[in-house]
Amino acid sequence: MTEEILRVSDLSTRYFTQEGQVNAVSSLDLEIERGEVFGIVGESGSGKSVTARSVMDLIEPPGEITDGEIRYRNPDLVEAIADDHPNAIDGEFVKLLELPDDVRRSLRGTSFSMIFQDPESSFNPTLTVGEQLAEAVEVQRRASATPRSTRARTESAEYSLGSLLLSNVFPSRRYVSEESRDRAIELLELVGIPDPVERADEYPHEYSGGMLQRAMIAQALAGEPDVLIADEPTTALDVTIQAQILDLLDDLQRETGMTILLITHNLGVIARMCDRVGVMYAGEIVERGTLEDVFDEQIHPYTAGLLGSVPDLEGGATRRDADRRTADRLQPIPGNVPSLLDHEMDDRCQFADRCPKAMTACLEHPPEYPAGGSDAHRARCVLAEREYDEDAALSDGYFDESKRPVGDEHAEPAEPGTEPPEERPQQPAENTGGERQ
Amino acid sequence: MSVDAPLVRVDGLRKYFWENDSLLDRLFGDEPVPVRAVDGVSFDIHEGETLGLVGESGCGKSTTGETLLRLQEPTEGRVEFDGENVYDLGGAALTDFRRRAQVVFQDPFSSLDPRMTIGDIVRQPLDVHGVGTDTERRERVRDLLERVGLSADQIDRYPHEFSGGQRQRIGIARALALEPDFVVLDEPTSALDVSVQAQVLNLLDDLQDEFDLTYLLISHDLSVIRHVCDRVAVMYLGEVVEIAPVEDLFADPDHPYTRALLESVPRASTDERERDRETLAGDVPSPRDPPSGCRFRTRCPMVIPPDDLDIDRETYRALMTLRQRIEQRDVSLESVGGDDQFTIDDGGVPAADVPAFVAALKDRLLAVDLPERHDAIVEDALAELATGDWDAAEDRLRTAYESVCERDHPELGDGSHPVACHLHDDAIERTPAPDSLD
Repeated sequence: MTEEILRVSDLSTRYFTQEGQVNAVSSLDLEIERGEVFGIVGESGSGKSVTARSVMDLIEPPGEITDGEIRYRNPDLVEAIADDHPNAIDGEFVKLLELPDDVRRSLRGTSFSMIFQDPESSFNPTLTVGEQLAEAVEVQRRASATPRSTRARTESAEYSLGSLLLSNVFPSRRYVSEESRDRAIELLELVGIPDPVERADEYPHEYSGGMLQRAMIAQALAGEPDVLIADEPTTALDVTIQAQILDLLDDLQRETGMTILLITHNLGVIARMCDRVGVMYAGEIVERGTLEDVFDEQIHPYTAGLLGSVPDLEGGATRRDADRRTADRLQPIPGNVPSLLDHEMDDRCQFADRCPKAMTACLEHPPEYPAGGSDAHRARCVLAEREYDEDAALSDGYFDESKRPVGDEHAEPAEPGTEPPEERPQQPAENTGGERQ
Repeated sequence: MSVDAPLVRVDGLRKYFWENDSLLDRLFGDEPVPVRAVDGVSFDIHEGETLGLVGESGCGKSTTGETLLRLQEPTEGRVEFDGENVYDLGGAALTDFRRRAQVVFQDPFSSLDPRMTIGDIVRQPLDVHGVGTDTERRERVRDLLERVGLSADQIDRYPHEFSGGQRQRIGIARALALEPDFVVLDEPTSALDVSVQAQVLNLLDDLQDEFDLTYLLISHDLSVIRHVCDRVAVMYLGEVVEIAPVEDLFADPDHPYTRALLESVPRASTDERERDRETLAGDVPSPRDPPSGCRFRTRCPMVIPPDDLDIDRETYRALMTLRQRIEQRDVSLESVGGDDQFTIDDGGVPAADVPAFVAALKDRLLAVDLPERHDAIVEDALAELATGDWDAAEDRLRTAYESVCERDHPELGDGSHPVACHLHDDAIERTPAPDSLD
């Protein structure tokens, strides 16, 4: 548990939209160790999915990785590409962003693979589940037969133009070999699908949501990846099914020792699964550390706010207890997730406008300070350095000159006044999984 | 209205949706198939309280909410609002009911007309019901917007300019425009982030105090339910399985489903990894063909064995799962054993292969070791399968293992904490082993 497998440094991913430049991820650092489960938690629009997609190299225009480095430790890969791409090598690490597209593509599935949020829309409805899994197996097989070459995959006879035309005439033609199919069935069995032989011949619509999510996990495992990136893997599922899927991921992780990067907005899922956690806000990791650091000894007011707004399932007062007005009131974070438009972002702590402990020092962008608890505990907040000082506090209306509406004592509205509400315009295509949920 | 009478009384409400019900289907004589979304639901909601309706997706909770507001016509049953049957209302009485009962929908992105300003959206109910003059309406809209935490200056903006939480506030303002007595909140926060969810929950709480509202809160999120509700009804596959005051339900859940639901929710605390969990296996059955008797029996870890059977809970659960698979013909005989080990003609294997086939099949279907007596029964049944006789296998197992849970439909009793489960049935003399209650 000491070897770093992935080191992301200073990563910035931007979207160039009509409204302006969106800083989805800004100068993000992230180290993941081999065999751990690292969780990224945050609200929708905080940039967690974009981070995952940046690592997978799935950023599509108008998005672009504008800065930073992603290093991936893999001595075999270093050896294989040393001659062709000497620039991309740093000791045992490979700098992924220096690699040409075809090599990066060949890493997808075999080194990194991804589970998406919505299993129903992630499968092709016109192919059987078995075929789609076998396809993933096939890709992996060819990649390992001629390591790090994508050529074998695309130029073999099976993928020729003639073959494509033929398949239009004989739609029953299969692209997958018998061995791949058998492996697909093994994978289905591995993820706990009963009767895998029959289920492999069924189409996605014949599966339930939980089963499909299992099948997607099987597909992600086809290439025996080093790092599995799970982007909200259980958000679309019911709690009892969610528990099954989390159990499955847990078992698989223990058996294969793979590294998991788990992205979710659900703090319960984080607590259930992760060794270390990063809390994201406005494209940055604002606090990171072990599970205990973040859940029990958090420094950043945002982390505290996030934990405080989750209603308890156990302990505490329920609504019917006496003096519930004080006892059970949730402690929401006022306001909304900020717009990430470049021209609207000041160079300050991005949370300061919602922060109950904002001080004048927060008007400068804070670096990461080491915080108490374990060595890994870091917080991007001045409170790690000094105590909250009332005298230095920003006045209540600092970020909005206009007055708040009357009769608003339950929670502050987002951006009252004359400015248009600061929020990312909702573009369906740009929405993250969480928002679509 | 007397003090004791509930504001809303739902009695035996059923709502079926019909498949294969088109003219063509009728012409060809296809039988329509009912999807039993809501199947005999009864509960009361008293004035000023919040009743929670919780369950997994597809259990019929939203349909219940919509049907009791008469947004859908029921298949059967009655709903009394303030003593009158909602489905008998007409004319002015119905208009009056529409004014007094309102709804807030789940998705704040699709429940607001994008081409209307938020002022018009909130004002629309006032226009429809002809309340006040133009100036009064505009004044009322401004009041409402401020009351739900928006600014009255935003009255001429369009929904797309607002975030999810703010849009949900607009939906709430619209529901409150007519000063209703009763509001159905259909997953009001499930589209929102947790920090914004907390704002909306606090707002709903404040509004309830201020306007003496009665809520029916529909949610799949148990922590929200616990936080907001006075009483909770748990739904499973179209039926209510347990109703209890909120602290009873969370401290001492009686129905095995409620218990499993509570256990499944991951807690946001560092002890979560060490917590004992019992995960429910399997998926929710289809409401087209719900299981007989207790609908939860196909997944229930505590399904009740017949009296004379000396068998532990897990083994019995495994046997019942085996039975279900045989009854649904969900076992593939072709793939038993290795490649082409057995040849299957006319649905069965040759007599000589039967013992080997049975052993291979048992190995695949059952993960537990059976006591000798039960082993013999199961092998008998599997031997019937080997000859392709599914019905005989089914019968063999049913005679040995039929449970009260599949014979009798458990009734939701009376009292303050009724449970629809045979484990809590006084009529059936049964004391479950003490450890099975834990």
